[in-house]
Amino acid sequence: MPDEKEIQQVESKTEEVAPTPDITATFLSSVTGQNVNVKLFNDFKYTGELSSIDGYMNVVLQNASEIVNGKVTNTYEEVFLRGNNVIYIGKM
Amino acid sequence: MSETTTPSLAETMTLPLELLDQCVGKKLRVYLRDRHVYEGTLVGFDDLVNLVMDNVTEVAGSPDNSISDRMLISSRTLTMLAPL
Repeated sequence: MPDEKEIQQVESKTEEVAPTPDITATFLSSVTGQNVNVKLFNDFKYTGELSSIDGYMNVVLQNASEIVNGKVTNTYEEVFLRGNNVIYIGKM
Repeated sequence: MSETTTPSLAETMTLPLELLDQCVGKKLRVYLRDRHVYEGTLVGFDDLVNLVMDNVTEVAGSPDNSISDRMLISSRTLTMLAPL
C-alpha cells in the first residue's frame, strides 16, 4: 500500500517537472494590440501599441514614444526594436 | 555490491528548473547583468528562463518606479534569482 502511494508521488513529481505550458508565448500573444512598455539595454524606453512580436522578442510598435531619462525625446509612427536589446516587455 | 537500496541520484536531485517551478506564485528578486534588479511575483517561465512576472518594480539600475501588472523579462543577461 505505501509502495503504491510512493509510486503515485513519484509520478506526480515527474508531471511537475514539465514546465508551465509556454506562459511566455501566451503572454506575448495576449499583449499584441495593447499598449506596452519596452525597455532596452541602453536604458531607452519605448511605449506604444504592440503591433507584432516574435520569438526573438523583435518588436514592432505603432505610435511609439521614446523615453530617455524620464523625458519623451522622440515619437515614431512605427518603430522596430531588435529583440536582443530588450530587457522587458510590460503591459501598461 | 551492497544490498542496501540507496536512492539514485536522479531520485534525490532537484533539477534547477524544478526548483524554479516551485517559486511560481512567489515573490522573486531578479538580478540581471549591469546591476539591473527587478522584484515581482513569478507567474511562469520558459525553457530559456525568460520570466513572466506580476507587479514588477525596478529596484536598482535605472529605477523609474513604474509598476507593470504583468511583464516578460528577457533571460539574455539573467544572472540570479532569489526568492524573497
